[in-house]
Amino acid sequence: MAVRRICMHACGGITRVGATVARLATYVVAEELIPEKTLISCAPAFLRGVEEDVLMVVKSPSFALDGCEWSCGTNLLYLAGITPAVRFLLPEYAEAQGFDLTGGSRRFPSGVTLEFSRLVAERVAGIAAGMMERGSPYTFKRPELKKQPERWFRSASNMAGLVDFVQIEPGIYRPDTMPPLPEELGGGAGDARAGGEEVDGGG
Amino acid sequence: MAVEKVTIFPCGGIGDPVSSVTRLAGYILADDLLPGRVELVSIPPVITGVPDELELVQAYPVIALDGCGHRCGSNALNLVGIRPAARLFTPRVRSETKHAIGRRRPFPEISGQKLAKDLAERAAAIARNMLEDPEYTFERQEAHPNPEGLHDESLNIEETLGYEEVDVGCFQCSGMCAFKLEKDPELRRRLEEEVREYEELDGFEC
Repeated sequence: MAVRRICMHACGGITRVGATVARLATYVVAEELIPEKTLISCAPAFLRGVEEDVLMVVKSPSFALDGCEWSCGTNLLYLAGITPAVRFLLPEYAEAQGFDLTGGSRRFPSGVTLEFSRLVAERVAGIAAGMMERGSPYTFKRPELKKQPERWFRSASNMAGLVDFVQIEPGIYRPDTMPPLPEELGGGAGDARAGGEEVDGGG
Repeated sequence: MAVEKVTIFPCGGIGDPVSSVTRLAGYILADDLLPGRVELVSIPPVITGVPDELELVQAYPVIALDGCGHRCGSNALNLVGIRPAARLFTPRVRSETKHAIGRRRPFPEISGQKLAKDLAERAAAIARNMLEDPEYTFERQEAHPNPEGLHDESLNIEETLGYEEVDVGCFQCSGMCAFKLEKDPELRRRLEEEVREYEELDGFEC
């Protein structure tokens, strides 16, 4: 089915700068860049079963923003049987883009935390535009929510052994079971970066 | 016996502005009021099983900080079989202090920053009692998957955890050692004099 909205799924952490970047980037996408076409998934509310937070990750392709290598954004979806359409590994993306997050604030939307979050948001919006533009070849199949508590407490750095990814560019991945992004096919409104390299786990 | 450290577990949401208030309360407590004695823990890594974060909720008493009526902090702990040592419920605290949550999500407005201080003050009083009262006892808990309530908001988490309100917005969980909540004027002074409030941050109007 065609894509009308995207779902932003920030990792939900609060202890690391990357998690703050993920949250701020989500607000920039939803409030400034593509308002009305962006849903914000709340990780704790998703676990709680708040209806809108469950429905949005089932009905729209998710952009998982992982603030660190533990990849809780991607992993929480995985534990519910849902695979994100795109995954950003923010520390790796920061390094590739020349940002040093070590001096960033996890508490305040300021400095490098704020600057980098805007860059992330713009990249997300570019990919999303390619998915949603008229005539886009991108299709989305609704997943089914599964409860898999037997998979809890098996955290693996960068989802190694759990999900395989195609690297779109350093710090940006597509799970290999998900449809290619429009820019991989040489089309779409985002930055065109054809190709992609298969990696195990990513990161 | 008291305890070596206390863990603070804010709701950590993203959609509702109140989550920025609870998150800030956690930072004020862990960074400004009781650094080194309170550890901040996020919800998602406890569910996915990041070892260091999981250890913090097992080894030390946890103060859950619920932001809204969904009570996601309490629910997340219940999902891993951990009972909070105390719970703060923001809507009840707000009803007493009258500081509005506000509407901004990246960082709270001044009123939300004041509400975060109100929450941090209560959490600090509870944490200090746990850290300093020789009569306070805590036994290590072992996390385990407890999917009751997973993606199911019909679970009555208040009843499941046996919460009892011991002061406005401060709840005791059944089966956990009772804590004392004594107001400390020095805490309030530090919050007012040392924890700065911001009207603007790097172009963000608060």
